[in-house]
Formats: sequence, C-alpha cells, structure tokens
Amino acid sequence: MKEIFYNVFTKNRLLYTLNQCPGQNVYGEKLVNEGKKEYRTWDPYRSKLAATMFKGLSYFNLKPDSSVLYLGASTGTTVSHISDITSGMVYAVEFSERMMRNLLTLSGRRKNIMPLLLDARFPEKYSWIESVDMVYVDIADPQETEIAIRNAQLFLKGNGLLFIAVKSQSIDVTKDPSVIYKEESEKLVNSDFKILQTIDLEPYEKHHAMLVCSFVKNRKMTSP
Amino acid sequence: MKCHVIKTPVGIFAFDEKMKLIGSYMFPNDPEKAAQEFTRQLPREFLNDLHAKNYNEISTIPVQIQIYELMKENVSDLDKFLVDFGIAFSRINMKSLIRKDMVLIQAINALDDINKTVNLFTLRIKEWFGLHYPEYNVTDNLLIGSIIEHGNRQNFPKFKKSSGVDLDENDIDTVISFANTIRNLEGEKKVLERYVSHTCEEIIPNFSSLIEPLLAARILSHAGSLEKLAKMTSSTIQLLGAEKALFRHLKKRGKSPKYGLIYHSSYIQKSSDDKKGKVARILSAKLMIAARTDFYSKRDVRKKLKEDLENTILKLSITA
Repeated sequence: MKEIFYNVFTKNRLLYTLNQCPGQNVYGEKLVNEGKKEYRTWDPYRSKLAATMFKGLSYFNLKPDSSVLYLGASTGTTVSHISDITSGMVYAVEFSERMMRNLLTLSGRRKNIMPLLLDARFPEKYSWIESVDMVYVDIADPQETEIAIRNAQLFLKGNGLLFIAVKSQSIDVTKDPSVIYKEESEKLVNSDFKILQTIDLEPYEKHHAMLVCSFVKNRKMTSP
Repeated sequence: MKCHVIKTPVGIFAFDEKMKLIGSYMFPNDPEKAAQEFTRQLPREFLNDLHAKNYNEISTIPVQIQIYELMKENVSDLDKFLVDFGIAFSRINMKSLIRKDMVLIQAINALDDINKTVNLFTLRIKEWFGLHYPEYNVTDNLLIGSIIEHGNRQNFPKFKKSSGVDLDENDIDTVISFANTIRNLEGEKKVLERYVSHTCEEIIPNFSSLIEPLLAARILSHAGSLEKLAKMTSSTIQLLGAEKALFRHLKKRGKSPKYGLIYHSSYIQKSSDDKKGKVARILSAKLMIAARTDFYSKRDVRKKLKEDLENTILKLSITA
C-alpha cells in the first residue's frame, strides 16, 4: 500500500482507506487485509471524491484531527470514507428523510459522524458547529454554489478547502457542462475564493466536475 | 437593548452586542432529551429572564462566536454527545417529515407494479399453455379462468384435436398453480384500487374530486409528496410525466408537450383534439388550487372548483 494523502492508500490502481470498523462494510465494497490492518476499497464510480482523486487531485488537507462539514451526505458512501480518514467530527447534513435512514445506521456504528436532517440552505440552523477544515458540497440544486459559498463563509477555517461537486444537469440542462463550470467558478471568484483545481469527473460521472477552492488569502472569519 | 440568542445541542446561549455571554439555558445531559428540547420553541422562563435584564430585541441570526468552545466546557465528551444528539435529532425530524401522503404513494406504486406484473405473467402463461393447446384462442381473463377450471386440454368442452404437445399431470398442475397466482394478484389489485380511492378522498379530497382518484394518486406519486405538489405551479402539474418531451423541447429540439399524466383525465379525453391542450391548461390550474387547499387550509372547495372548471371548459367550446 502506498499512501497518497494522509490515510488514503493506493495499490494496483485501486483506492483504499483504513477501515475504522473492522469487519464491516458500508455499501457492499470489498474489504482487503494487508499486514494487520483492514482496508476498504473506495469506488470512484460510487464516490465523487474518489473519482476526483483518480483524476489527479493535488490538494487535500485532511489530517488526523480535521473536522469536515459535508452537505448532501446522502446515504453516507463518501462520508464513511472521510470518517475513515480523519478522527475529527464529520457534520453530515442531509435533507432527504429517505437517505437519512441509511445514514443513521452508519452513524450509529461510527464515532465521528453527526447526522443532521436539515436544509443546507439555512446554515443558521446549525450555526453552533465548530469551524471546519473542509467543506464538501454535493447537492443537486440550481443554487448549489450559493449554498456552498454561504456555508464556507460561515464555517470554513481560513486555510481550509472547499470542495464542490457540480452537477451541471441540475443547474441548467440546456447549457453545455463546461459553460456551467465556468459560470460557477466565476461566482466563487466574485466571493473571494480562489479556484485551485477544476476536475472533470468523466468517465466516472457524466456531466460532473469537482471544484477545489480556498479563500483568496488566509483571512480571518467575519460575520456574514 | 439588542441581544443574540443561539440554540446549540448543549443549551441556549444569549450574548449582548459586544458578544459577551449574558445568559444561558442548559439542556439535559442525555442526548435524547436534549434533542427533544432542541426542537421546541425557546423556553418562556429564558425569554422572561432576558426581558427582565432589559433585552427586548432578540435576534437569532448566526454570528461568528466561538460557541463550540463554550459547548465543550459544558459537556465532558462532546464528540460522543454530538453523534448521539445528531441521531436522536434526525429521528425526531424524520418522524415529523413522514406523513400519510407517503403511504398513499406507496400504495399507488404497488398498484402500478401489480399491473405490470399481471401483464407480464399473462403473456408468459399464454406462451406456456399455448404449447399444450395452441388452438384455444380467447381473451386473457377467460384463458386464465379456463386453465384453472379445466386444466388439461382433454377437459375443455370444445376440444377435438390439437397440434400441441402432450402434458402429464405434473406439468399441467404447475401451469394451474401459476394461473392461480395471476388470479390472486388480480384480487390484490382490486383491494388496492379500493384502498387508493378511499384514501384519496381522505387525504386529497379536493384534488381527487377533479380527476379520477387513481390518476390523482399517480400525479401525487410523481410529484413526490403532497407538500411538493402544493408548491408546484399549474404549468408544472400540467406537464408532470412529460419530462422527457419537455427537456427535449428545452434543448431546442422538438415541440413543447401540452400535457403529461393529466392526459388520462376524462375532461381531456372527451374534448376534441384541437382543444385538448387548452383543457389541460385549465384543468391543471384548478388542480393547483385544489392541491394547495388540500395541503394548507384543508377546506372543502370541491363543488365550487368543479363548477368553475366545467364552466370554463364549456365557454371554451362555445367561443371557438
């Protein structure tokens, strides 16, 4: 196993994270033993973050104690891997009751996933969470970028990273995906963000791109 | 004076304009109980306390304060508390989100599934029994009935000669048992139809008075929930179920669709071809009103809506 980022491993062109709940898998992924440790394979076709790594991500800032705000946690596929990587808290916000059902089971097994059945459009409902090292946004909504900006401005640490999985089809079906990526990037730049990388997720996901951003300068947090 | 109030899983904290802590109300240490308190309104005694200190303007807009540190001081193992709190809190929220309309949606989906299955099974049994008695050519329902009744082709009253293969008792018993399954499914279908019509009258009385209950339930299922349906514009309701054609049109290829699921409504069915689009528009406008009444005020406006709708449609055929 070769470590490409902290606690993210690769071997034979597959990605792995260290399983924090040995013996249990979350979504039917394969468990692999090496040495005395157990690893979970991280499927790029199921998780956009894994796909991003396959497509050449060069910025990733999770450390042993990093906390993460995850908007659009869904059933917890990617969340489970993030909770493998860091021992800090993962705030998993999800608005759909149906998805939350599965997320609750996962959260019951792990020590660091806090499920929140809330609307990410209203961050004031969870304004009490700690400032986080990473804000990860994966919501199928035309307003996705605005929601991401608002949450990042409220909760992201000055040196933190903002990941936005842009689903062009849910922003505007009539436009070409690359046009949408540009438009969304502009919105971010206008709100004092710097686009570090734009990664097209083809062939793992169609019409999706991951925008990796940070604040323009290490700025202090201000109230909105 | 102005003050900021922030609700956290641990308790409620109040700050003055200089962000100094001026009051707090702690929730129980037990995550379940804390989650219950969290979902309630701000407690009276806490507000009275603030009023007594002369803070009259209470704002709940988020402000950047290191509230997290404050929470940490009050709970020994905050991480574990937060995880348990999150689970309990989401459970409470889930309960309030699930309503009776979701039960109706499951029922109508089950009904559609059964319809599909019955068609599929009927095709199969036609092929299957056809091997044995290819000359027997009747409607689907009659075929299943007579298979159950007679079984082997020798027992059929009009049987003379057949080019089909001979089947022994064991073979024919399997076919009969399969035919019985189809018949049972059809019984189940009738039960579900009755249940859906009945439940529609209970949950969406106004909406289902304008169109057939089964269709109403289908539209509801397509919208996802009654709340979503109530928030839809009439043009969205008009085109529910025609998404493919709509997006083809939006991508500048193809004509715009005139109707989606509501095409099956008797109002549209009985109007002439050149009026169908207009009737669809009128009907969906009334449906929108009905859906909103069903979700929000829950008044009974069935009679008025129906009269309005029929008058407008009548006018349409006179003026043209």
